[in-house]
Amino acid sequence: MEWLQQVNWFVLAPELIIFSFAIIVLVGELFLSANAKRSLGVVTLIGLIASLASVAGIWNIETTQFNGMFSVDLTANILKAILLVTTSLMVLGALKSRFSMGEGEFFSLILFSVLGTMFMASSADLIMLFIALELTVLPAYVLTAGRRSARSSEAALKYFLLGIVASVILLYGMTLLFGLTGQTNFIAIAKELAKQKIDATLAVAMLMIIVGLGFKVAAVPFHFWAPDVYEGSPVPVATYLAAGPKAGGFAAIIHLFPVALASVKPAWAMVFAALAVLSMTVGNFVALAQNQIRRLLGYSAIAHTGYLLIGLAVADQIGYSSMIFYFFVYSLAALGAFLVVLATTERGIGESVTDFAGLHKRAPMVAFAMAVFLFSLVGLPPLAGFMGKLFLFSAAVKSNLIWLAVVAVLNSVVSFGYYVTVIRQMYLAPPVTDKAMPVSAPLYLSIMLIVAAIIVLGVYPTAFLSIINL
Amino acid sequence: MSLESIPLSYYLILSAILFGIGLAGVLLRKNAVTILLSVEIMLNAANLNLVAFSRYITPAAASGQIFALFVMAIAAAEVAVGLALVLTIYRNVKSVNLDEFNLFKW
Amino acid sequence: MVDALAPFVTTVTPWIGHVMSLILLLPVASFLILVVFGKKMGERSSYVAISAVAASFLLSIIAVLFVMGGGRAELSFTWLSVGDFHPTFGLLLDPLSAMMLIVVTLVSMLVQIFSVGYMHGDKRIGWFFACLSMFTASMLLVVYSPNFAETYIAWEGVGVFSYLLIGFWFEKRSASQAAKKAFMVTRVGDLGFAIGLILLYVVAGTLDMNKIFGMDLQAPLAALIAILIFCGAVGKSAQFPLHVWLPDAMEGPTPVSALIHAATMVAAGVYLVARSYPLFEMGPVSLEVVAIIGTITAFIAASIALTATDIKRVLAYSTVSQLGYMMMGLGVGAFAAGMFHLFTHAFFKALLFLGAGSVIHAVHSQEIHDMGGLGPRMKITSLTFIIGGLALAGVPPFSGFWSKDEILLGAYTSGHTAIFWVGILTALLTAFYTFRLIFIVFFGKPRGHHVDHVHESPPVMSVPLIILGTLALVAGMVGSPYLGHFFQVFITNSHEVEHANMFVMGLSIAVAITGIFAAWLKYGTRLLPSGVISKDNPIYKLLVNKYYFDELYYYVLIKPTHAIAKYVLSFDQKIIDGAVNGVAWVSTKVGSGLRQIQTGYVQNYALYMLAGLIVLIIWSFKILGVY
Repeated sequence: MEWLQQVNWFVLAPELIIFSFAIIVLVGELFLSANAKRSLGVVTLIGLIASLASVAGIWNIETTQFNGMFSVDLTANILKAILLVTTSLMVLGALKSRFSMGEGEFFSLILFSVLGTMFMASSADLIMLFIALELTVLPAYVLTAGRRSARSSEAALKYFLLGIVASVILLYGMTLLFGLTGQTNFIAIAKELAKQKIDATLAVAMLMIIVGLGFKVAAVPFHFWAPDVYEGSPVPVATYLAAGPKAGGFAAIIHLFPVALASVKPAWAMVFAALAVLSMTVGNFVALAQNQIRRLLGYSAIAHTGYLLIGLAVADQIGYSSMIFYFFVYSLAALGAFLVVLATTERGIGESVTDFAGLHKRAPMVAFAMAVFLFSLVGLPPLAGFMGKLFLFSAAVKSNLIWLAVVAVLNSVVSFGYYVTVIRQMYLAPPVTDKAMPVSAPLYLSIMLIVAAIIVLGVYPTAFLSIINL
Repeated sequence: MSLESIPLSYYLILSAILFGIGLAGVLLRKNAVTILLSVEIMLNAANLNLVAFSRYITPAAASGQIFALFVMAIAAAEVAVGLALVLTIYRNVKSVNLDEFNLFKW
Repeated sequence: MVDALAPFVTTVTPWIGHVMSLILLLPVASFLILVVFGKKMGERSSYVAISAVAASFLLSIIAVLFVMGGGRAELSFTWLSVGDFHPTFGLLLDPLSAMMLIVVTLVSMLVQIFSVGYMHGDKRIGWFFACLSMFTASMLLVVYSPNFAETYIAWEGVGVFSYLLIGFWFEKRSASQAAKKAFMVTRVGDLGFAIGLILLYVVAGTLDMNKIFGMDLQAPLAALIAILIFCGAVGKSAQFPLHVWLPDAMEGPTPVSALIHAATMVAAGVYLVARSYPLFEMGPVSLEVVAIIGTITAFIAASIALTATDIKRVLAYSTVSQLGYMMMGLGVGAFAAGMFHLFTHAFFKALLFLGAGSVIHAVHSQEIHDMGGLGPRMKITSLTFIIGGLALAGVPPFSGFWSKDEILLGAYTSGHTAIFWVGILTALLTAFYTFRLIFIVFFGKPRGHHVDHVHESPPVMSVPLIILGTLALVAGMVGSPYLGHFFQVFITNSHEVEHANMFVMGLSIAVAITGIFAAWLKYGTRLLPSGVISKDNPIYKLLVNKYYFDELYYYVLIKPTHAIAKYVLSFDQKIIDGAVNGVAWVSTKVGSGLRQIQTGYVQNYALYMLAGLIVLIIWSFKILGVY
């Protein structure tokens, strides 16, 4: 068992913690009384925070483990931290929620999905990446089907079918890449490819991988699952999916493309630019025509994937860093918006945009928070969304993608149209009833923490940028 | 006739054909279970690729074959989840015909 | 060039850095706490706000002692860096800012203590204290700021919170109108300020004061920029011709008037001029403008105050007038004297306002003719009010005398003879209207209905009065010849001070006494017949109508603006709205069309994905040049 000693288990601590807690929570579901199960959410939260602390402990370490399969670096750590922060906030917000499945099931599935996403962020090998990706999505399929209703199971089945098709296409692309190089490690692949002439198979392999990862991050035209899942899954699940898991997709892209596929950079950079334009445009315009809040946020998520892909189209360090910053900013705002939806649906308020009428009379702070989230998504100063867009778009301008920046700015203007409908409903439309809407304490705390973070990041982004060494 | 006398391209063409058959099944069949089976064919196409490449390109290393083993394991997990989902939707809608699952659109 | 404003020495000793940031952050923290919990805490909100500002005040004392020991400190950190744009954010501690720290935190603390009694029972008291805290913090940021961009942001913050405080009783129509007026009028000045800053950035390439003051700008250009910046000061410090908002702002709660319209916000304009003094010195013409505007303001406001009958309005006009004096001082080159007057004025004017608040609290009216004979019934209030009045009138040894005398001396020795004589005349008017107020309110026979039930205010209100009264009595000493002009030396860091001029001093004492005596003759005794000033007198009419400024602005500015706005609105509705609606309509149609691709049939989606893949493959073949 010599190899056991060669592994630096310390750098695996974040994953190991999540894994142990996932098992603990799962076992707890089996053996605890119904009353004691209520505490499983808190246990999950502790696990997430412990994992976050251990990520902080290895923040600046750069190493690879298991013969280069598992890489620890700053990008991976930042994205893991973002994932853990957003998931913690989501778990905090959902502590008092009612789940249609057992608490233990719900939270352990979340933890397994988080674990998969973390492995995705750290994978430096095709095998690892594929397994991690599957570990991320399989629990998500089950979670989506969590409610015993036709809508929930339909959303889950569609998500699943499209998901496995995307996975298979990704896998086939990986096999081609393996065939071209005989390697599965990203760096080894890059070395092999550098020796070769670019041929069509490589382009096909690259595109097939883009399909799989594009599906994960919901880029048009691989986005079809997103609106259905956001609308149809139980609200806490949609809240989870809205924020964290995309981190894995983006981390995998940042690790795979600039390293392994460096030789075809012009192609993938252009492809990402095209996907960015498509995602922004389709997401924003279709969102204009939505009147169901979760579906609207689903299309908004697609549009934001478009903005994020700009960072990949820029394809340099500034682009990736700006993308990571915007990803954080975006996932906070999206998470917050979904938590507000969670707060309202828990009180029996419908999910149509018009159901938000007069919310500011019934729950002024929640309505204010929602306005902050939506304005941040639009990108209005002094909120974090503005800074995020500023960095991202200026990165595009710097690398002569001015047309892309222009498209993105125009899209932001369009997006104002649908976000403001929600705000108008909250503040200008008369409420159905004047009765105050109570919000459970942890959910309220979670929403307010996000509001504070969005304002702080908007006013003083350097606080975050210096942590991520941008 | 030994295995090596069959050129690599034969395996690849077979794999591509299997992939195409699977894809056609996914796109054309309406029964959710059939689609699951079609996806399995596609996965096996990928596996065929992996072992063939492993045998011909990196005969010394076993990484391709290991990859294939992992894929099989994952395929099993996927089928388990997939069948469970089909079962839930059958309970709710009393059908496994994809054309009848049309609650979400636009 | 004033030495204190020579390029800042940047020495950051760690502990003083913490002190500096805490002074600023404590009120901010109080604001945040009160915004979230203010409603629940109710009256207890005041504990949070007062303890925060009291701690800030104690830390300010430490900061001042540090500066007195010869220390200077600047904290600065880069706010963000986008390309070549690296705006920094900083806190600067030097004699000027140290002095203001004391003034702002001390007055703010006393006003907040006073408010506990004054605002007792108001249902939005948590929000009131939250606004006071944040107002204080914004003001501290103005004081601290080492660059114009930061100053501008803080400046607008001060504006916003003063707007909220003036309009605190927004149910009262006049209050929300006054808040709006204050906001709009100061905005006119801020427009000039903003243009000045843009011009400055274009010319100098930076807004960092330290760097700008080290530059050698051409005189006309520097004068232009300085005058534009002065526009902002004119708005905030209610100088002629933008003085019209301040008297109306008296609609706010009286403690707010004491804080904002006496000690801090209105002084921000004066402080801005003082802070940018090296820039003004580069274009000396601008200082002449400052002096002339200040003198006109001082005289006009004092003359209007002669006829005002609302106790707070009298004080408001006197504030405008005294701010005019400060500007006059800065303009004629008596930099230290101007700042000294700011210092003393902050105390005695806050005292007068709080005293007025105490009176209003007792009488439930602001009309001076509803008062009268309050002296025996409200001993502390009347005594401290009279101390404040003596300071305002410029009677030695009260604080106002020393600083006003210095300003007049500055005007006299720098050869601004006309300004000097107008200043003397204004001093006469000041003494007269101040004691007119005092004789009517505190002496004579009681008038009005409430006077019988009048009683002294509770200790929480009277103690701040006593403290401020003491300060109004002695604060002038720090700048008097007896203490070797300590204040001036501290502010300018040089020992060349003007020596007392017996002629100027004697004259200013004489006019103060004359003014008080005349007021006594007219209002304290019945010696002069009441018809001595006819109400039909054109001058009286002119003064009662405040020189018709409001009417002038109404007909010259507001009416035409409304007409233009109406025209623009119709254009806007027809053309712009049409265009916007058109774009929105088209976008929604595009969205409705695009959403059709989400057919609901999962196999269509798989097909689209595949189609997308194939198109992208072909496209990337083209990019890579394979096939």
